[in-house]
Amino acid sequence: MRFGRSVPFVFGMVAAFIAGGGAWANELVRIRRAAEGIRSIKAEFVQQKKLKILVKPLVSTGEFLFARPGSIRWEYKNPIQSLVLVHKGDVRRFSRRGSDGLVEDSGGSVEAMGVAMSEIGLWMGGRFDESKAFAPLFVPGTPNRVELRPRDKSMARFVTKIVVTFSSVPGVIEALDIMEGECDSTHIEFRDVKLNLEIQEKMFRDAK
Amino acid sequence: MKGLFIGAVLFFASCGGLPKLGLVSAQEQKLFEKDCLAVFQVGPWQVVHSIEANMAHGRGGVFLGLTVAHEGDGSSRSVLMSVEGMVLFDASFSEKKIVVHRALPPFDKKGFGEGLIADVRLVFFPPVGKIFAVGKLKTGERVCRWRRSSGETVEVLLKGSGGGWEIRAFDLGMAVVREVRASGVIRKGFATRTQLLAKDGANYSLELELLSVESGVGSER
Repeated sequence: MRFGRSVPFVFGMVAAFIAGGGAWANELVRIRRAAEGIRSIKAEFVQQKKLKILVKPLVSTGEFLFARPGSIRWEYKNPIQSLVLVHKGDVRRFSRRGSDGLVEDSGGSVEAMGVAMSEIGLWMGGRFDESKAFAPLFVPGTPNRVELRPRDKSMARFVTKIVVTFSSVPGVIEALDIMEGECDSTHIEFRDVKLNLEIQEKMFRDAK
Repeated sequence: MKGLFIGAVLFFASCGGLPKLGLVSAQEQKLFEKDCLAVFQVGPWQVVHSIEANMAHGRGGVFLGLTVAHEGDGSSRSVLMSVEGMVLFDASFSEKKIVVHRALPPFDKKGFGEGLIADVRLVFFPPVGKIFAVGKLKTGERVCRWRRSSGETVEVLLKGSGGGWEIRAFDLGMAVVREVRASGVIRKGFATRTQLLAKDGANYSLELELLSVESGVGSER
């Protein structure tokens, strides 16, 4: 008897889950379509790094440029100048070294930033489902969000969750929250966002 | 007896390798010691630096360094981050032990953590051991010298009003293995510019620029 009563309940839950999953998938498709209408993004960003041991968050500011399909210029201006350029599959990273100005880096840091930037490129293009590193989950609300959870356990040791928050403009990301364990996180907020400006190709190719 | 003899030879050989210090009165000695120790701030405090590392063959990079001194028990923490804020290395340390919380490649190499913490200790924390010499160099700078229980010497050299300070670590043969030069404006006891030169086989230099300092505020561990 008890079993008989629980079957419809379980069935109902599964149906609701599938229906919900379908709705989420539709929302992701909607975000992707909206993002496909965006050719370029120019924005300022403010990054706040919070660590359990830090009395005050570390604040960095900079400028972000994006052009479809996957060109990125991610430049920190304060407190330390550094730059990552992604263009036509090439990833270059530069750091300010004293009087030498911006110097191109080599080695593991470039590779790591390449991976991170390719993910950001996917998110900016609304292509969350193409991420090999993170599984997306649409979270309805005001504002809408997409939660990204690492697919790989080794990645989950360092990044537990990424929350992408959208602005009121369809397909445009307002903030990223990267959760690293229980207490440490990075919050990146995009400000003064300008869409579909003509951005010269050299901005993604040259450090200057 | 033989050990004592070797010890005595080492002591005199060591003293011979260091620049001679002019004698000062007992009162001056106390004052110099106090000023030498004032180079190192008492916790709790936390400082954030940009760190430019220059290594052999043009290698190196720019990082963010966070150093936290807790109150009371002498425990501290050091975190090395990428400019983008990724934690690359994170360790707690006290006089007796180092506990590594995170070390991403290549910062997980054997000896890296010990080396980094040794450098952090040299720059920010009073030398371990006893002061065995205090005095003035011919050029007028005040100097305090510590001897570690392992026999190595560390000296603090005060460069006069507004001139910053230098810290030097010597090996048993009295060769300088690390040199710290603190200069620029002093904010809450911390120099805005600090250079660390590794002069042993490691041969690297670190240029530290003070980005923020919080003192007298305890933080979570």
